[in-house]
Amino acid sequence: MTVGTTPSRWRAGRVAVVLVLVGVAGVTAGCGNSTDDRPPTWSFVSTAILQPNCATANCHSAIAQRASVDLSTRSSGYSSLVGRHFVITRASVAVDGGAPLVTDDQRVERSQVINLMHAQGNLRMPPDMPLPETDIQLVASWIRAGAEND
Amino acid sequence: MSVRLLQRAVQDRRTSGLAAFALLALLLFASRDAAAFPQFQFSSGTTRCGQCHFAPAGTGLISEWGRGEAGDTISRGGDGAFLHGLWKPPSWVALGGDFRLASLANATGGPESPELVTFPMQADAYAHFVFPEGFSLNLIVGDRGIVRPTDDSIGGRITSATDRFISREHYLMWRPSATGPYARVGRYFPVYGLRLVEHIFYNRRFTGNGLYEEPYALSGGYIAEDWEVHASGFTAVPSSFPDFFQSIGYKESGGTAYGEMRFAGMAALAVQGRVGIADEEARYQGGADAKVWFDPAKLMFLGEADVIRQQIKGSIGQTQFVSFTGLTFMPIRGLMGTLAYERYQEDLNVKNTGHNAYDLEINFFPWAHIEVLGLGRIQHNGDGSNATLGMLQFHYYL
Repeated sequence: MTVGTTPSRWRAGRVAVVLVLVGVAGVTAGCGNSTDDRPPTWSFVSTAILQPNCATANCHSAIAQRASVDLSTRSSGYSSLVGRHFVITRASVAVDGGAPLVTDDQRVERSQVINLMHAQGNLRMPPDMPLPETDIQLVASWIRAGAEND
Repeated sequence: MSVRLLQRAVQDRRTSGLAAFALLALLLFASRDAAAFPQFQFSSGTTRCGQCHFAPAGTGLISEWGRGEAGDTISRGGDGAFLHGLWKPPSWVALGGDFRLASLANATGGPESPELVTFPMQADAYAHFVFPEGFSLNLIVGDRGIVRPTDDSIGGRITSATDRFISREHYLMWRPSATGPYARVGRYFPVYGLRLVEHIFYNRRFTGNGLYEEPYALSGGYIAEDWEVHASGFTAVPSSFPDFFQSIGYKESGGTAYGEMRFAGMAALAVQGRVGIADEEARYQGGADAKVWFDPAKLMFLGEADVIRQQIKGSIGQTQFVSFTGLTFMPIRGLMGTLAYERYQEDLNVKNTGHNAYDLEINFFPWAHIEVLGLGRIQHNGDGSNATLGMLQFHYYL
């Protein structure tokens, strides 16, 4: 291999410094507020959390549709989760004398999508990388708020 | 707009401003290195990705030069030519193939862990048809790798081998010489990022370069000895296309730009940008890549950092960060080990939405055409949850 000139090595050294900055940026990027003020709406939950993490090549993409669940778009994702009862909407709960038979917290507890995200072993979703608890709680908040297609 | 959303919007603007400043600082710092230097080899004696691959910036079928390098400098020996040199295709076509068999141990916690699976990861056939005046037609046809065989009890669309056929790439290219201008149109990844092999790495997965995300694109560029530029417009595979062509990911249309400088035969620095607009969201992203090869120590540093602004239609936006920082050691010919740290933060405004990954990858090339790969990967989220992956992979290329 031919050895570069001294000035060129200096420039290569600067590239190395950029690399160090990349690493430092990676470590220091863990900032942010402890309060999660992201909106608990389906448009956000689907697009920001479920599509990038779940609609992958082998899993819940339009082409794979594991467990007949397609999370690749908002409409297909909502149909899949609600239609297959992975999510229990407020509107689907029976009412007795004006009061729902299942509370909002109970709907969250009974929604399989939350249980799968919290599962251990092979049932956990996503199987390759757990979702941060912050994300799971945002999905739970959406369900608690009614799980509407909003 | 509620007070909460208003506060959020202000935070978004602050974060976007900080991110833009950081990106600008990185680009400005990098631009000071924008000088031409003689072209020397990096680790393998080759400096341009397009020397070893038919594609102008690498990936896909390797060229005759690349096959020579595979036998002479990358592996422990052997003949890297097609069919190990037993038969040479006519001059108007180049052929090849990639076949991978992988075993995974995925530790997810709980009594069933670790999950153990062995599966065919890749089976792709390549063809490069040569036409006069620098034109060529490039095709990849293969089988979608399936990690977990479809279980009838859980269903799924992919139920037979024929369902899994896919053409990840098919494009027409005009590239009259190794250096100079080129153009191509068809399906392929527009040039962006480090272009690492492992599709699970965050800097591929979350920048629009994940597995089977290849869009249709129209690109042009110029390749010089010590720099190159690439610009592309792209659009997602239409949903109406047959499964054979279908892609994964956000159905975006947009453009990319990538510029790379090489220094002293031992370093490269690139800046990049990408805009992708879909029905449900839009992403604006930019970043930088760098590589430095220290030949005496047989070490290569490589890194990539991207800032992504995702604007979600009908909702708010979020600013994300993705990075890869790696150190590769090549103690002897045919063996290399890489230690890497990856970072992906879904939303810079929200704590504990970060993902960290620590990787150790060992690649052994005992003979031309053969690679044995071991990968250990620990992922650790900001909230304390984690996952561990071990992979052993056998790779044969034709």
